[in-house]
Amino acid sequence: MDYLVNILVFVLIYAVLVQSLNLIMGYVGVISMGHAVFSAIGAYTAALISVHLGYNFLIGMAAGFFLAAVVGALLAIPSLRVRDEYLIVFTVGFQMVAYEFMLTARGITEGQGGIPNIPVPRLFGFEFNTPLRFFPLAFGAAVVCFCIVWRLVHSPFGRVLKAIREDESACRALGKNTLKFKVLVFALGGGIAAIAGSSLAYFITFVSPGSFSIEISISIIVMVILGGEANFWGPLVGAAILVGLPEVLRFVPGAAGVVDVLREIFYGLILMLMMIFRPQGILPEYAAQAKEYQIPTDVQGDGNKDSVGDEGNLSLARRKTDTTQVLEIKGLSKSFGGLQAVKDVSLTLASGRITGLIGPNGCGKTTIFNLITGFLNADSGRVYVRGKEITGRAPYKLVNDGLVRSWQDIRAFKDMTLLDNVLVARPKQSGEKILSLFFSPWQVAREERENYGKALGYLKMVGLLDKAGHLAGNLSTAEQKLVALARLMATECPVLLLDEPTAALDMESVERIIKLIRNIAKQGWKTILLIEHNLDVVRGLVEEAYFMGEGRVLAYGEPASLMANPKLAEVYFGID
Amino acid sequence: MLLAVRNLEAGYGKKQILYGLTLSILPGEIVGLIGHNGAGKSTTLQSIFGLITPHQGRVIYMDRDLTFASPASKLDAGIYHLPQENFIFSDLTVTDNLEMSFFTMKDQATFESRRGEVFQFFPVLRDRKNQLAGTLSGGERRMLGIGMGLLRKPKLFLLDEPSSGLSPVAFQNVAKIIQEINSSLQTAVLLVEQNVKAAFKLSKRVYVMKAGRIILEETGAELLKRNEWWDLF
Repeated sequence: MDYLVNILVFVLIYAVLVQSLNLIMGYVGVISMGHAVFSAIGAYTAALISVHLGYNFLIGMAAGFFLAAVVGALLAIPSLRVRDEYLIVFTVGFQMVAYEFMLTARGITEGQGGIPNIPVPRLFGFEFNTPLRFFPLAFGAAVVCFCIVWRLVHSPFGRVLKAIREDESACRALGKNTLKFKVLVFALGGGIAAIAGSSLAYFITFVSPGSFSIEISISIIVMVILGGEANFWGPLVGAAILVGLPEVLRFVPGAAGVVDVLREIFYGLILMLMMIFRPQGILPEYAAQAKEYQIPTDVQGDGNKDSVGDEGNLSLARRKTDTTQVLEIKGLSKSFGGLQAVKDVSLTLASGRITGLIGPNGCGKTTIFNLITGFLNADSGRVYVRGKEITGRAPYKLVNDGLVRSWQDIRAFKDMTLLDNVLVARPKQSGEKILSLFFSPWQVAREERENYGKALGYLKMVGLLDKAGHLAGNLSTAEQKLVALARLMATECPVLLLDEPTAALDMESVERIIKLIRNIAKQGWKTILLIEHNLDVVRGLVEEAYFMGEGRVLAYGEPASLMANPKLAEVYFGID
Repeated sequence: MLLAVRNLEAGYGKKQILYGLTLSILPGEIVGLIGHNGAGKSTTLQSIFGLITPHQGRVIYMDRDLTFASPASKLDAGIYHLPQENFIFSDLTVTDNLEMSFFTMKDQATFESRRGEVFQFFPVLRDRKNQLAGTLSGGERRMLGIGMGLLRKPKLFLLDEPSSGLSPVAFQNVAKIIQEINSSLQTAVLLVEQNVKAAFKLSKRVYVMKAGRIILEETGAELLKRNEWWDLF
């Protein structure tokens, strides 16, 4: 009996450890091969505090949590500059350095032999010195950790995490400071892993490097994958199967000696087979089928009204006579090595109008978009939105200034529902701040309901309300472009930069998008800059256009007059 | 009829790009294919050549149904596809590139003489035959690409925007060579081009595409007579 409870405690401790990695892997998409190090930080800190300083286990666990959180936050920084495979190798290095430290820094860690005789946890005279007694402690810690993760993941904060995993650039373009989110997730993931580590230390009253090697880090990854990445209960399933099952198997006659030998083979086989046959794990991320959503009757999001955004605060009269230059570019230049992609470009967008940016392939249109929105740094020149200079500002800050862009390759968040795609774009969500999430739940809930209604309203405006619960990746290209437009509207930005919104579409879809953009501009009093190659779209939608060639603005005017200019025809159709 | 494409529908995965494309090419003809960016011109060439499998429709070449034939069999049949980018091996020399192109030909003995013919069309390739292809200029690379195709004496060249990345002068050279190849070897060409005027000059007939469909078929001469072509885009 005691032995079974023993196994259960281990399963709980590992479930917490796996959940903490799931946060980083499943929700931010970073595969860390050094996650056991955070567990080690928790274990060793707890051991040192209780053994050498004599403080009780709560202090030991808290200290471990904070130290690991700080290390985790620091680890987020290399993840900025190091991508994918290289980041994984980086975490391997991190694990190796930490392990060596545990082995050789004898003054602190007491080396290979480890730190024995960690005082058993004690509360009001009660000693948690048997598995049965320790179980409620482990269970309580697990419940607290799972609740924290639950709250985090099923919240606006968690929604942004998923979007980061899907497409970080697209997420930044919607106004999210993704670095901040990653730092927080790494910190929390590290801290929660430390709770698991310190629990282990207090349970077996002993720490040594062997519990925090790269094999352990890999086994945690296997448990995340087996249970189901980004599924909340996945870690429990993974830990139960990979920690619990082998132990339970010991009771099978004849199996006892073989279990240890087979365990490593078993782990490896699981990794290989799961990757081929079921990479999403035992529990898939979206357990439910696509749901039908009804706009809640008490929160009627009128997409039309709300797309007016900030401008809605201005009086009607003022809006009509407002000729402020909403977007102004002065002398923008950019070269790549020897190639001058953009040469001294200046343009202004007047409020409430649709302006086109046209020109032959390779003339610098998308480069200009990237320069305006901070995805590229200009060599010279300035950009102003509503009089305020935004030159070189980070992309995520521009939504706050009222500017948002779309992408030539759409970049809808494919593994998220349409509703989530639009919701994530809603600005100023207090639920994206951890403190508000845990300490102002009522405000967060109220905002969610409002945003819910508005998001459904925007989906209704693009004609996709009935597919709100579908995953964006299952939609056709044309429908994904509609979702992307709904997403832009949801930001309530008055200035929209649209990059080839009708590329690769058939004629009917092109017509549909033209009508929609016209509606958006008129009803919401939006200012739009539009890159397009299909001149039907330019003729049907655009009031004025800038004609570019070889990185320079060659002309400006109504489409009809531009097309009557023989010099421009030469540029567009080729020289003799 | 050299090539007959009937009601072709194709795309990338779930994305449909071509909506019922029909065109034809007679032996020895240069046919132009123009249209706005994103209209599906490259996709058309790739579907004909078999790099993309069509969902619907037929590709009939010399009375054989090659709709689902692999690019390798299409090469053997005499079709050569030159993409807009990545059409040469940058890390190999000019000579090695030519050898690579000839590698799957059945009669290897003719390589030397064929290569000689290519060097006659493109003397600059002979001059630079030991140079790494990646260090050639844009125009020279395009010539190497066409030369690699010429080596196989195709009956139909599928050329995707041969002018892209080239200065007007460099492209003029390339255009002249396309003309020569067509007149001396009777090689048919399906020419996708952004440089519309050049396409009209080179092509006997031109198809205009918009949003995945063909909206106009006209002779190159008729189109050249016009003052402007904005309505085609």
